[in-house]
Amino acid sequence: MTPEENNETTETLGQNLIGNGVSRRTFLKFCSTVASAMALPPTAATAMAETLSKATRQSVIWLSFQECTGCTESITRSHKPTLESLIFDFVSLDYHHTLQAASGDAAEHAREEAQKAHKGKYILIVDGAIPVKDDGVYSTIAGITNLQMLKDVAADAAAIVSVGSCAAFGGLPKADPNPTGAVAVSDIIKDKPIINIPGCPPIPVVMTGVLAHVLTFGIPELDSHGRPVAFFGESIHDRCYRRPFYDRGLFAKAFDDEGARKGWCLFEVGCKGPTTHNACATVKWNNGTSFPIQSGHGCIGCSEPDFWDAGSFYKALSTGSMNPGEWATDALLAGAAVGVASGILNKASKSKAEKNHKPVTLEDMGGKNE
Amino acid sequence: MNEVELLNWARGPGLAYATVIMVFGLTIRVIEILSLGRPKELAKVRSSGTGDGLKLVVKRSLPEPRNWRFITASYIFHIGLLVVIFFFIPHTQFFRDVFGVFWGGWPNYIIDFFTVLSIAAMMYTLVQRRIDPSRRILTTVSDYVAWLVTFIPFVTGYMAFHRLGPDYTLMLALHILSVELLMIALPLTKLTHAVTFAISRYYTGSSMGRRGIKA
Amino acid sequence: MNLIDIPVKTLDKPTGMANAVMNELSDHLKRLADDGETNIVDLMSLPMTEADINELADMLGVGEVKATISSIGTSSIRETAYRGIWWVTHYGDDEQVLSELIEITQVPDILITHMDEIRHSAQAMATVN
Repeated sequence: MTPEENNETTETLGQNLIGNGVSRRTFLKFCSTVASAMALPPTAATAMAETLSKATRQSVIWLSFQECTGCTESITRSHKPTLESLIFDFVSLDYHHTLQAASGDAAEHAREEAQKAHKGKYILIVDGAIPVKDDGVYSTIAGITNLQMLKDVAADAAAIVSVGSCAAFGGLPKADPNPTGAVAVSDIIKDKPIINIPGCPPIPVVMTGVLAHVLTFGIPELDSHGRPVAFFGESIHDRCYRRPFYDRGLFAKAFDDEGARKGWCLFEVGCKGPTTHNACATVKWNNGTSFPIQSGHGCIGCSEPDFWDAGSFYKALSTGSMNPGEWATDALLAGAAVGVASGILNKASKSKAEKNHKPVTLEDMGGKNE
Repeated sequence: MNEVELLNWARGPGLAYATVIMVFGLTIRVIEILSLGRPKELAKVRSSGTGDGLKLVVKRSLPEPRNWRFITASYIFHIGLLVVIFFFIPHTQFFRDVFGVFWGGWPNYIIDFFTVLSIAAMMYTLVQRRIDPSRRILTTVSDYVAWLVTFIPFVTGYMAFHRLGPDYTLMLALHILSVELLMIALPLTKLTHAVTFAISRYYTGSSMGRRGIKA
Repeated sequence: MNLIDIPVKTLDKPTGMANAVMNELSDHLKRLADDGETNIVDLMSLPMTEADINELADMLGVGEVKATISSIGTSSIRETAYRGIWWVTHYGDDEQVLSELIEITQVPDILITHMDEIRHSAQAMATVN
C-alpha cells in the first residue's frame, strides 16, 4: 500500500507470490477450495490458478461509509494466516482507511493516485450504507460526503463489490426511521456492474471466493438481489441440519426447554431460515466451527434486504410483525359501536314501519296480537 | 417492490389492515343481526323455541341424504379448512402470538393430506356449480369471488410449503396476501356464514319451534 | 453441556452414493486410459454421509503412493488401488477439511512443481553457489 506499489507494475501475481513466499501449491490449494465452495467444476481450480498467476495484481479501492467495520473484521480477523487471508496477496489494496498506515492527506492522496493510475480497471469495494438526506452531510471523510466520494470513485471503476448488508441493501443505517436517508450502493450507482455480498457480516470465504472469481472468470452469476448464486442460491432452511425436525413438527418452544436441549427446529422461537439466503449452513463460521442455528439461536435473516424491519427476531415467521391482536381489539370496539348505532337506527325505522302498518293489519286480521 | 419488501408489508401493515377490516366488518354484521330481534308472533306461541333452535344448529350441521357426492366434497373441504387453519404448526404460532393460547399443531404430512383433499373437493364443488343448471342459476358473482378467495390461500400455501413456484419468500408473501384478501372478503360476502351460521340456524329453528312447526 | 451432548446426529449410514461415485470414476478412468482426459470429482459438492465416504474409500482401496504437502495446513494425496485415481484432501491450518477431491490423472497438479518456482529456485541456487 505504499505509493510505489500503486504504480503500474509488470510483475505478474505468480512472480509476486514467489517473492512473498507463497508457494504455488498453497495457491492451487486456495483455488481448489474456492472452486469447491463456489460449486465451480473442480477442474476450474487449475485454470483459475494459471489465470491469476499470469495477471498483474488487481488494484482495489475499498471505501467504508456508514458501517461498523464488522465486515473488515470478518475478512481480516484471524490470528494465524488462513487461506482466506491470501486474497490480500492477490490484490493491491490501494485504499482502505481502516487498514492503511497512511492517514490524513496522504491517505486521500493514495486514493486519488490509484484512481488515476488504474482508471477504468480498479475494483471498488464498498462497505457501509450511504446517507443521501440533506446532500449527504451525515457522513463525510476528509470533508467529502460519502455520496460524492462514491460517485467519484465509482465513475472510473471496472466493477463494484458491495460488501455487507449495509452497502448491499442499506442495512442498519437504513432501518426505520432511517434518520440519515441511508441507501444502498445500487440505489446510487446505476451504470456499473455491482455484486452484492450481504451478511452482517458476510462469511469470509464468500468474500474471498467472489473476489477470486471476479479476478479470474469475471462476474459470477447473480440472483435478483445481485448476490452470487453460488453462495446465496439456497435458503438456510433448505440446507439446515435441523430441517428434519421441522418436517416432523418437532420444535423448541423456548431457548431452555427440552426441545432446545434436543436440538429441535428453532422456527417457533423466530428462526428466519426459510426466507434467508446465505451459505452459513454449509460453509459455517470461524473456520467451519459452527453457525448460529448450530449454537442454538435462530437465523435473524441478516443477508436479506430490510431484515431489521421484518419484526422481532424472536417471533415465528408466520406471525404478524405489527401486533395484529391489538389492531383486532380496537377494530372490535369500533365495530361494536357502529353495530349498536346501526342497530338502533334499524330498530327505529322498523318500529316506525310497524306503527304505520299496525292499525290496518290488525283490523284486516280481526284477531288480537299478543 | 421486491419479494422481501412484499413479505414485510404483508406481515406488517397488510395484516393489520386486513385484521381491522375483518374484525370491524364482522362485529357490525353480528350486532346488526342480533339487534334486529324477531318479528311479533301473530299466532299463539307454542314453546320458547330455545330447544328447537339449538336442535337445528346441530341438525343443519349434519349431512342430509341428498346429492351425497356434493355433500361429501363440502364436508371434506370445510373440515380440511379448519384443520389446515388451526393445526398447521406455523399457523398455531400465529394464533399463539395473537391470543396467547397454544393448542398444539399436527405433523406436516397430515396437514398436507388435508390440503390436497380440500383443493380437490373445492374444485369438485366449482365444477358442480357450473354443470348443475339449478346451482348455476343460484350462483352469483359474489359466490364465485367467495370460492376464489378461499381457494387461493390453499394453493399458495401448498406451493410455499413445497417450495414450488419461483421463490419461497415470494410464495410466502403471496400466501399471506391471499389470506388477507380472504379476511377482507369475510364480512363482505356470504363467507360471513363462518361466524353467523349458528345464529341463522338457531333463528330458523327457534321461530319454527315457537310456531309449533317441525324443523 | 457440550455440543456432542446434543443428540442431534447427522444421518450416518451408507445411502448408495458410493456406488454412484464409483460408476462415475470408472467412466472417467476409461476416458483417461483412452484419450488421456483428466477429471476431478469434488466430494464436498455431493450429498455424501461420513459412512458413504468411508465406503467409497474402502471400495477404492489403498495404492502405493502417499504424499503430504505442508502449506497453511497440510494436504494429503494418496493414490488408490485403481492406478490413476487419486484421493486428495486439503486441510486448513486447524485440521479442518477444506476440500476433498478425487482426481483422475497421471499425477495431481498440486504435486507437480510449477516451472515458475523451478526458475526461481534455479536463480536462488546460482546466487548461493
